[in-house]
Amino acid sequence: MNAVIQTDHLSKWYGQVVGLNDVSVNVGSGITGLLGPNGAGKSTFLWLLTGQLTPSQGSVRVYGERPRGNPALFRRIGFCPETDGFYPNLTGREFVEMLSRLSGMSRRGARERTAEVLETAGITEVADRRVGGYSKGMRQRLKLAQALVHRPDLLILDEPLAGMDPLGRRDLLELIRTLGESGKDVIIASHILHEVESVTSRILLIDRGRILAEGDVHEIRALIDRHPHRVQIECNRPRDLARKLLEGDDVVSVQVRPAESKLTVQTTRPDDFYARLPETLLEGDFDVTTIASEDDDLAAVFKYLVE
Amino acid sequence: MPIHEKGYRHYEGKRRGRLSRSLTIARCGISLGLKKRGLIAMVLLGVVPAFVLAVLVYQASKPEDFAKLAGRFIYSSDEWRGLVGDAPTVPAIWQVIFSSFLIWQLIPVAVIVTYVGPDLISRDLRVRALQLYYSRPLTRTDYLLGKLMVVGVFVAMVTCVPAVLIYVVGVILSKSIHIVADTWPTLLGIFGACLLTTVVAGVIVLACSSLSRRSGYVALVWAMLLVLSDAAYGLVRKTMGLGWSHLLSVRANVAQVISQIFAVKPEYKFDWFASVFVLAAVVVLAVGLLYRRVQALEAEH
Repeated sequence: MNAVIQTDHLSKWYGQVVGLNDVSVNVGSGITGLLGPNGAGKSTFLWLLTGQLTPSQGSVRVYGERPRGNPALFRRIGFCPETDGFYPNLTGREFVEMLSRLSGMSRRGARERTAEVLETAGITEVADRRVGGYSKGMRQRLKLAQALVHRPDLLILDEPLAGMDPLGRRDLLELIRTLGESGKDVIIASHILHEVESVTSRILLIDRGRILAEGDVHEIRALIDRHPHRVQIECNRPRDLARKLLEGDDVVSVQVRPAESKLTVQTTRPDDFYARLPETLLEGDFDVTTIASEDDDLAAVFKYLVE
Repeated sequence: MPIHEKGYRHYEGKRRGRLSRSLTIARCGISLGLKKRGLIAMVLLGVVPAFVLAVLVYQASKPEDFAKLAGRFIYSSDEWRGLVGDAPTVPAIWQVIFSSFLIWQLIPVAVIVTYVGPDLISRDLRVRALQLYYSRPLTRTDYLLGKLMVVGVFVAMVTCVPAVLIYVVGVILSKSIHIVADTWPTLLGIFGACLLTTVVAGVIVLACSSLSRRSGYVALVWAMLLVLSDAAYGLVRKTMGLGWSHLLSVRANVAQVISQIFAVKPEYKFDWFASVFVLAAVVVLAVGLLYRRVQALEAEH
């Protein structure tokens, strides 16, 4: 595997706070998802990749080169940061054109390429409006446009979908897939599993500055499946429902909270459990208000892995 | 969002040199600066003294008459003689009036830099633009040079540009190209003085700008620095009568070096080299601070 990114015992501290802790990974070509809850260290990792921060310990290499203080490398990298970084008084077109010229493009080349990426990002219509008046979704698209404008080999996207409308998300994910298929390298950081899962099966799970798992998303899911899956049900007779559910061998335990009319079920075979749940509810004539899986969010996944 | 990026291609156009990156930053800063109406008004006001310079250059074509005029309205006869000698020539007069103009222009320069300078880096810190800049093939030197160019352009608008224009008009009015051979040190002096003013004012205001995300505070710090250094100079001179008291003032030091550039008698008797040393020390300190502060996210954490 040709390593696009190599880190060796990479750590970053902000005073007493650990941003990234002893991370050693090799990231190959194609699309890689960097998954972690807020504050996990995703942005710190990306800032180290883009040379914005100096490692406190260890080393980082992108395409075999140290990114810090290596301007030539940034011709090959397109970075879309989580925060905006725009001048509100400039128009979107002026902003992207300026950044493309900073990448060394000629005036004409920058103008033409800016028009292309603004079209790609779907903001041509608002390109001549001041950025200060842009919505969150438009700003995200503008950040993506500036990251693409100089045709980088590696695209580093920090929470690129945050604040985008569903249509925009779908289109952006499609664009990322297309870039990956055409042989480009993409690192996409997100805290939403299904978004990353829809563009790549290769992920890095990060939490509290440590890489908890890396590899195929299905392997990680299998790892997660070995842990009991929790389902919370709110209904009119929680004790009766608990009794019924415990009759199946897929349920490990049930915790009932009558005062809240709730019960929490732990199951090692969520598929079997969900298959028989509707029948159980209908047979007992239970009046169910909500069914929620506590494990759908990424935080639960990390909790399992940490435990 | 239509997807047109179906295939991926490298950028195959020519890459421009490093200077173009500084120029791009400068162009952006100038464009943002020109959106401030107050700044444009200040520049226009700052050019007004150039009309006086134009009149003086016109008058200087008759050195004898000019000596009388200068002796009556600008300097005492002794002072004027001390500056240009008993038989003043056009080149000698030009040296004096152009240097006086550029020293006088330090006041509008201070005001204009107060308008244009504080935002230059503090705005980038405020909107977190540095991480976008530094994700490009750009070094801190390229970035700072670009920002300094912004200050330079606005400083030049009230110093170099009117002075050079008037110099050219003066040459044309003299009806002799030989005057260029006699007065080229004046032209060089104009560029030298403008460069000195830009570097000193620019580097100090950029260092101030890198200290805060609030440009209002930066403007205050910059203005206080100028006012307090002048006040300290005045206080020390009046109470102690020390010959080197002008070394405490940024403006006085720049004025002293400008006089030296034009080879005219300086206002302060103390060695001009001391002023060079003071300004160099200030610039080195400010550059050191800038390089520490302007390093992407490092400065924020």
